[in-house]
Amino acid sequence: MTRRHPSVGAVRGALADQPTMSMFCTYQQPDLIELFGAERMVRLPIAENTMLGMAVGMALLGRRVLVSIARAAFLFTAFDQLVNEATKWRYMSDGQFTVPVVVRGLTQGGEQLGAQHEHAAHGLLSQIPGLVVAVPGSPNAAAGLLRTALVHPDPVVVLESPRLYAADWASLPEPEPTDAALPFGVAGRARPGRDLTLVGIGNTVATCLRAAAVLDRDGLHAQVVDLRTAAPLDLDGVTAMVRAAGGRVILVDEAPAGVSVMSALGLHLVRAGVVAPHRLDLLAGAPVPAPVSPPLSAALLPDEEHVVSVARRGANR
Amino acid sequence: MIASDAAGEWFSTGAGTGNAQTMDLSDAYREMVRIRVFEEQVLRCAAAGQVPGSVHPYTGQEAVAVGVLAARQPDEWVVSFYRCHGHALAAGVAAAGLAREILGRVGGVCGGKAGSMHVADRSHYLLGASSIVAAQLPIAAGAALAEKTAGSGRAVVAFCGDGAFGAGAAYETLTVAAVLGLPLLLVCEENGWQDHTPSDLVRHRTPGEIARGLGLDCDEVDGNDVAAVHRAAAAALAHCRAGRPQVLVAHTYLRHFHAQLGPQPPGEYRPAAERERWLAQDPLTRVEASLAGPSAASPSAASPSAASRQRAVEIREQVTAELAEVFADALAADRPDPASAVTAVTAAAWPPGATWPEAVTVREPVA
Repeated sequence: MTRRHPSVGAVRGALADQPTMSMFCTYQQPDLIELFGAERMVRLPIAENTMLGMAVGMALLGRRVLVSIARAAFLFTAFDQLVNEATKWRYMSDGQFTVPVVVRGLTQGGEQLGAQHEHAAHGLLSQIPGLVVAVPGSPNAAAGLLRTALVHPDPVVVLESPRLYAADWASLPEPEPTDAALPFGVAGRARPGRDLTLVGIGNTVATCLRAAAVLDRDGLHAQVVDLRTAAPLDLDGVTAMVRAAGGRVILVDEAPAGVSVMSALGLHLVRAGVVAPHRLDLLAGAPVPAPVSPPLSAALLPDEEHVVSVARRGANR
Repeated sequence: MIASDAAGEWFSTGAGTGNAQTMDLSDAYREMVRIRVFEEQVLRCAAAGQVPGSVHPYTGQEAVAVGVLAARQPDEWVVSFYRCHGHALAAGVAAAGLAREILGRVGGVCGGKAGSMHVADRSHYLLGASSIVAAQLPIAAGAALAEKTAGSGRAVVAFCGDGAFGAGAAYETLTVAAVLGLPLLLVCEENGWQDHTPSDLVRHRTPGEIARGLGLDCDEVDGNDVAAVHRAAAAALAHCRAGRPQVLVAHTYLRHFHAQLGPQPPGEYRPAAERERWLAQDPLTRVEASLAGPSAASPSAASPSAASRQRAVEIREQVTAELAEVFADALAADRPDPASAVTAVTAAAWPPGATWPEAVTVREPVA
C-alpha cells in the first residue's frame, strides 16, 4: 500500500478546522465532496479570472477560499484578479478588509507540456507586493507550506512542481523531517555542510541535494539551503547560513536570472560581506519558452551536473 | 418588460410588484442633490488642481444609485467601480470622509490610499470599487456566493457601466451566477458611451440583450426616473434574495463627460443634440415637480407647484451649505503621514520584519 501524499492531509485538515473555508476547482473531487459537502467544494467553469475574482469576493466577506487552479500557467488568465484585485483590496481599503485566498497550481517538471503550460513563474510573481509565493521543494515542504498558507490572512500562491505528485514522489529527496507547518520567509537548511552553500528553490532543491551527494564523494561537503518562499525572501537567514559555511555560494534557480529572486539574494550576500563576488555563482534557467522535446528542455534548465561542475571548478580557486 | 422608441428612450412598465419597501421622494431628491452638489464641488477642486489623480463624475446618473440603494437592506454589500462617488454617498458613506479621501487628506475613508476610484467603507457595507473595467463583477459574485453559503438571505448589489459588458468577466460572472443561483443584482448604468467610444460602435448586442441571451432575468428601466429605478430594483432584489440573480439595465446619461484628469476639463465628443435631449431628462428636475405631492407622481406631470419648487430650492440650499462646509473643512485638513504609506499591504509588515509602522486595525461592520 502506498503512503498518502502529505499535502492531502494539509488540505483536509484545513477544511476540517475551518468550516467557513471553501475550495474552488474545475474538476471533480468526489472524496472531498463526500467529506465536506458540495456547497463548500465549488465546481466552476474553466474561467480562471472569474474563479479567482470570486475567491477574492468571498474572502473579503471573511470566508477563506483555496483555489485549485490546476496549472500555474492558468494564473496568467487570472492575472488581473491576482495583480490588481487580490493583492490590492486590503491596501486600497487601508486595512478594512483582508483577502485570505490561497491559489495552488502545478509548475513544470517531467511532463513536457511545452511553452504554454510550463513556467518557473515564482520570480515574476515575487514582484507583486504583499503576495506570498511559496515554492515547495519536497512533498513534506508542500504540506508544510500549504498548512501555513491555509491560515494566512493574505493572498498566497503555492507553486508546486508536478514532480512532487508524480508516481515516484515518495523517492524524492526529503529534507523536511515532518509535514508540519513551515513558516513563510524562513529558509531551511536542507542538508548541512561546511565547504560551500548551494541554494535552491522548488525543483532545484532536489537538484542541489543530488549534487551535494556527488560532491560529498569528492570530499567537498556542501550545505543545501531551501528558500521555501520566493516572497518573502529570507535574506538574513540565508546570510547567516552562508556565513557559517565557508564563503562559497552557488545559487540555483529554474527562473531566468533577470527575474530570479537569487539575483536579489546574491546582491544581499555580497553586500553583507559573507561571500566575495568571484566566489558567487548563479545558475539560472534560460530566458526561453519551454520546448516539448526532452533534450531541448534539458538544455535550458540547470541540472545536477551543472551544479557539480561549477562547484568543482570553484573549489580550485 | 420595456418599450423603446427610435430616439432610444426607455420606459419601465412598472416591474415592481410585491415590494414592501417604500422610498420617500423628498429623501430621494435630497440624496440626488447631495450627489450632484458633491460632484460639482469635486470638479471645482479638480479645476483648481486640488484633486490628486482622476475624477469620474456621477452627475446625471444620480437616480440610479439613489433608487437602487434605497431598495437594499443596510447590511447588503455594495460593489462599485471607478465612478463610485454616487454609490458611496447613496450607500451612506459620510461626505466628509469621502471628500477627504478624494482630496488626499487626513480622515479620508481609505487613508488616502484609494482616492477617487477605489473607495471602500466597511461600516456602510461598501465592499470596494475597482478601476479595472468589469473586474468588480466576479468579486461581487464571490461576495454573493459567501452570502448564499452563509444562508444569510442577503443579496449583493454590483454596479457597472455598459462598457463592462464588452469584457469577458461579464459573460463569466453572469454564467456562474446563473449556474450557482447567486443572490446577485447587477446594475448596469447604460449611458451609451465607453470612454470616448459610442457603445453602439463596438457592440453587437446591448447589455440587456446579452443578459437575456444568457438566460438571466433582466429588466430595463429609465435610469433618470428615481421612482421607477427604485421599483425595479426592489422587485429584482426580492428575486435575488431567493437565489435568482438579476440584471437591471438603467438607461441614463452623464452630464459631465467620462473623466477628468488634472485641472483641464475633458474634451466633449458627444453630439450636441444627444446631450440636449438627455439634459432635458435630468433626474433631479424631473422629480422637482412632485416633491410636495405623493411619491407615485409621474415625472411627466403638470408644471411644478409653487410649494414643490420652494421645497426643491430649500433642499438645494441646505445641501449646498452642508457640502460647502464639508469641502472647506477637507481642504483645510492635513495631508496624511507618509509613514502610513507602507501600512496595510498585508496583515503584518511587508516584507516581514521591516521596521515600518504596524498595519492599521481592521474595522468591524456596524450592523
